Amino acid sequence: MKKESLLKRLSGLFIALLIAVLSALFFTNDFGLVDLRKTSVIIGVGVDFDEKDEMVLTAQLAVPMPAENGENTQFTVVTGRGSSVADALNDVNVKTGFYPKLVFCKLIIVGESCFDKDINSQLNYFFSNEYSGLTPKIAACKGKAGDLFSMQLPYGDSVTDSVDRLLSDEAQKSANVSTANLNDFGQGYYSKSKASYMPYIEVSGGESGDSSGGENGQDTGGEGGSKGQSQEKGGENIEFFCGKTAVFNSGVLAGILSKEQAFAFNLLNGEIRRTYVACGEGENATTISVRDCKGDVSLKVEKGVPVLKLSFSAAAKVQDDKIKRDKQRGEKETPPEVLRLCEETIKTYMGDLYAYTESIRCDVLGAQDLLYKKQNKYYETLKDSIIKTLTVVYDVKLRSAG
Amino acid sequence: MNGDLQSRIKAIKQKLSSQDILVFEFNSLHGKKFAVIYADGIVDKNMIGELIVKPLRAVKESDGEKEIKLLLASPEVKEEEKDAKVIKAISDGNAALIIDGESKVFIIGVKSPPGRAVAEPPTQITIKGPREGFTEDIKVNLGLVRKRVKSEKLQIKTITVGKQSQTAVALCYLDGVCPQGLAKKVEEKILNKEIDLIPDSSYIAGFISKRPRSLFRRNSTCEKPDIFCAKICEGRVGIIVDGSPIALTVPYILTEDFQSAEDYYAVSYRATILRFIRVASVLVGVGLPAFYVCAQLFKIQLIPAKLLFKIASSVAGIPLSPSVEIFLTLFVLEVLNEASVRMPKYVGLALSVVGALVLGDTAVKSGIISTPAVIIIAFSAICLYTVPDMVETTTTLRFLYLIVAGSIGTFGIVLLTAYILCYLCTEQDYGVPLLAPFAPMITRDMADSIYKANFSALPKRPKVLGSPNKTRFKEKR
Amino acid sequence: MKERMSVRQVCFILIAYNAVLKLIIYPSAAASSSGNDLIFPALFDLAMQTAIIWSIAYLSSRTDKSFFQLLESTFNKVVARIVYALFALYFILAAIVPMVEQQLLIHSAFYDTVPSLYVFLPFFIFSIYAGAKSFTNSGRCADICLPVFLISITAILVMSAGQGEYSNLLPVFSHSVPSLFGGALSAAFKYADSAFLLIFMGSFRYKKGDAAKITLSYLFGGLIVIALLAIFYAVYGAMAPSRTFLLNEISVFFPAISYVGRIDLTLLYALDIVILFAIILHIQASVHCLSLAFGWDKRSALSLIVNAVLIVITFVVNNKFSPLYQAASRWFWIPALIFAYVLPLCAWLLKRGDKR
Repeated sequence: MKKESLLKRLSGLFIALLIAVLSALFFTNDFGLVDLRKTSVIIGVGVDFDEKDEMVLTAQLAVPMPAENGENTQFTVVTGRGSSVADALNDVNVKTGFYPKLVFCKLIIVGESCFDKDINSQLNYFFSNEYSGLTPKIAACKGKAGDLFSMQLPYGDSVTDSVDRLLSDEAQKSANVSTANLNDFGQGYYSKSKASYMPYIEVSGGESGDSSGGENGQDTGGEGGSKGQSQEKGGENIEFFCGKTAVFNSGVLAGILSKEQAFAFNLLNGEIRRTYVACGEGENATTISVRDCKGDVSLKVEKGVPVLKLSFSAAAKVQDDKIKRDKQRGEKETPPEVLRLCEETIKTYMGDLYAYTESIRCDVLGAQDLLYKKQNKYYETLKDSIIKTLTVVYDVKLRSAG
Repeated sequence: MNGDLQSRIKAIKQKLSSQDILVFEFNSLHGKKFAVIYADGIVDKNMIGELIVKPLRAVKESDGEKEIKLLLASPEVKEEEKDAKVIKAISDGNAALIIDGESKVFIIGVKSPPGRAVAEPPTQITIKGPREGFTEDIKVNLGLVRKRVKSEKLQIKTITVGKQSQTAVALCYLDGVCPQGLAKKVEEKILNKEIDLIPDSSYIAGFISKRPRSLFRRNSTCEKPDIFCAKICEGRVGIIVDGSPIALTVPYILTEDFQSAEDYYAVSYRATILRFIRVASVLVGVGLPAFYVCAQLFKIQLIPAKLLFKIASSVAGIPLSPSVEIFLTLFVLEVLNEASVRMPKYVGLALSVVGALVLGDTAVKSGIISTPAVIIIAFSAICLYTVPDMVETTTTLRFLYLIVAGSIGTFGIVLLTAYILCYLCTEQDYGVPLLAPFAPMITRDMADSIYKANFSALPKRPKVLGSPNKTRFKEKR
Repeated sequence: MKERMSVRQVCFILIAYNAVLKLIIYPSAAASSSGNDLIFPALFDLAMQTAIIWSIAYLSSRTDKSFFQLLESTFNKVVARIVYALFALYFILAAIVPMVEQQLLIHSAFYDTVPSLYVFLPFFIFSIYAGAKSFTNSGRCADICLPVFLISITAILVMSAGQGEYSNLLPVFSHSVPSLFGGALSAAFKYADSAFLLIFMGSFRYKKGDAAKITLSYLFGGLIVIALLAIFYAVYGAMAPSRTFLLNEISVFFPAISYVGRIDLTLLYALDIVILFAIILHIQASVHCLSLAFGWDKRSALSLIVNAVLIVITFVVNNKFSPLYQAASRWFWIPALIFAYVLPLCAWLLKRGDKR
């Protein structure tokens, strides 16, 4: 009984001590941790290599400015150098005095200088860092990623936000862009095909803009950015074009899919909600909208020969009046010849895609992975020869959307 | 006992020497001598005149106690012989009639203590439903209860507590509905304690609780007789204390605080939504300042990016650390709250202006505290008042959570929550677990806990209270 | 101290506590050892443990005695006390891995930068308090924890199930049977929940059909784990072994998160309360066993002693989780086998006496 009361008395003393310690911690804020005010929130990262093969990491930081009403966030670009991402981030920390946090990083752009290296191992920091996650979108760009981030966009928009919009889920669902995040990239990299992809960003500047950017439907242009920046493209309309797709073999760039090839790739790969296909030539040229799309890549082994089937089915509808409709079938029906024409167009794109990936020896369609996962009994015998012996079948079926 | 009038008066006056104890001596027309002793201020003197003096004018010299008693016009007449009891009766506000030559003293109920009329209670206002509230007068309060529960099963047991105050405490329960022995246990707990004065029912609350030092209370309080009666009808014991408009009921379960009188007068869907809102409000009110501090100090991902940037813009340039900023704002709120309750009403308006406008607005404009901090603390305060019965607990918890969040972080919040849950799961008074019907889970009682079912879905009394009479609602065919 | 709990509470413990402790680092470790076949060793372990759970539940239908009383009536009090002392030791050891897993999860999911170990130490304040509580308290806490667990885990399942590429789980049985068996063996210490049920015996009153309820509850909890293992591998594929914490990572690709922020973290925090209680159950069980073994009813003091041991261990294994987990995978199946498989089966050989 006496001991129990001693324990109780000690617990009272302990609680008092605990409250004192917690209060001391509370009021001193001495945790050795980094709070919001000591943090630089990185929203986008560009990765390049300089001539000395040192990594140059360009970080776009959100810098909240004091504001009485509403938000006043400005964006700044800081460059860090080092042997790895972690090293370069530390350099950013040293330069700014703020601890860089990647928790809100939504975009990673790799520049041309990274293409001849294993990107996966270069970005290993992101793959192994449990604080950043694998959600940031990844893209490749023509030229230096750092230059891209240094561009000044009108209306105070950040490059990260602009590119992020171009690579949005909505854009992906319209088959115009092959959006990929770190997880998608890593999964491709670690698959049996060892092939991965990411959108390829091209920047065009000029009064009228580049016509090739039109399909993305995103015009980020406008009046040029603010003056006085060494790398700004003052006075020009800046347009980002993400219609092409960079494909990688074991993390090293294998090639860049053209707009049409990327489109075919997206039809097969993505969950497309609605897109538009331009088909026919001259007077027969028309635009077809396709929806309820189902794209699939499957593999069968028939008599020892692997057969890759690229299939796509959708409901199609003519979007202009150039082609006369069969009155008997009703105005809303899409004529069969138009459907066949569209099917042929898509098949052509798919053929181009396959021919190109075969030529660069990049199994971005995942034949080897499919062989491993779904025809595993043939995997050991066919894994080395599959690319050479593969037979491709195209199965494109469009129906009238009615 | 001496029947001599003067010596009797002297004996009483020796013990009740206070100057407000008055003695009125008078004779009947036939010369019989009487004296009325009463406490000035708490008796109705007109009633003394009408009920005692006037009828006794006709008393003859030879009339004895029986005849005199028949002449008294009061319905409340008791006979006492012992001086101690007479003194207590006088202190209670009764008049003591001493008759020359008689040993017995008549105690006549002419009590009229100063008090307010029955009015709507300020702490439990309802839009729909009865508006009567308890007053400080135990008799009025018991009357209000009787008015609602006319059953012969209603038992009211009055005990006296307080060495000096001799306060009347009434235990109300329904015989056959209240678990056997519960009222006795409550009575024993009250009588076990000895104290000078019982100024309010909160003193009794401390007596009947197993852990009076606990942050969580162990009895329910109400100011409305309709709620009080409903709780008695569920099988609880109600306690009314003379001098206090707040009645108590035991056993208590935590969900009672989230129930409002109006829930039972409104449509059950609406009542359910309101209960969810109350639960959510308390959680938000207690946790929001803590999570805000955590998000800034330890885990910025708790806030969506866009909102974070807005907050970051607001806090940029604030000289205080996030935790101190919130603590300071909360401290100011509590000071304003305390001052507004204590301050005379005529300076209340000035306080509102100074507190809300000058202090708040200027502090934000001058960059001492940020706008989000003010919003969060203000919202938290509003949230907590959705469950006014819990405010004492929740405001303390809010401080605790804030300290833990600012020193340990989100893990501290989780840990404190687990600790509180574990504590609440352990606690029970009168055999009723505090967290029932959630822990232990009593499916039947859920219908009137976090959601409010219709009356037809509540045919039974709460199982957790262990009432011997289980049915409270039956449809007559 | 009277330790009563209801069968419902036992079932809740077997659903919620069983599942949460297998959702911290185990999925990552399972992905590492068995790759895309990770669910098969888990299924094997679950099946074995379910069988043992059923055997104990069925044994409860034959006797009202606790395991301690069974030992006492068959042998004598000394033997019963020795076995319970060993059980106490086992529960302390069994608490180490989940406790350190929890510590790492906290460091990862509750903070943006790695905090000091001291941040975790307040856990022991709670642990000392809650560890001294009886099984009645454990049961009531389980009543609270089950809804929290079910709501949180359902939300996590909904948020993550649509984000996975389920072909990642193909081809099935790509790993050899010995390799899968090795995976099952190394995870066997995670599937040792029957030891708790054995200790709970006598604390709950068996009614007809309760054996099925208890067994199905355990199976249900186990199947939730299997489902999450499958989704985890579907989401991350070959990268799953490098994604340490399932709960922190599995739902991050849910589209709404990019708009409303990391709402999954609030679910994780809610689940962490369940994790805390699941770890505390080890300490409560250990204190219960020690109190019977030494005939000492000062549970607060016993809880203090158990926690003091755990605090020392926490400091010793700090920053050594990988070797600790490897050692546990390699060796801890042996005590798990004894206390969660052999002893429950041996309980059938003990004198049961008549059921009241």
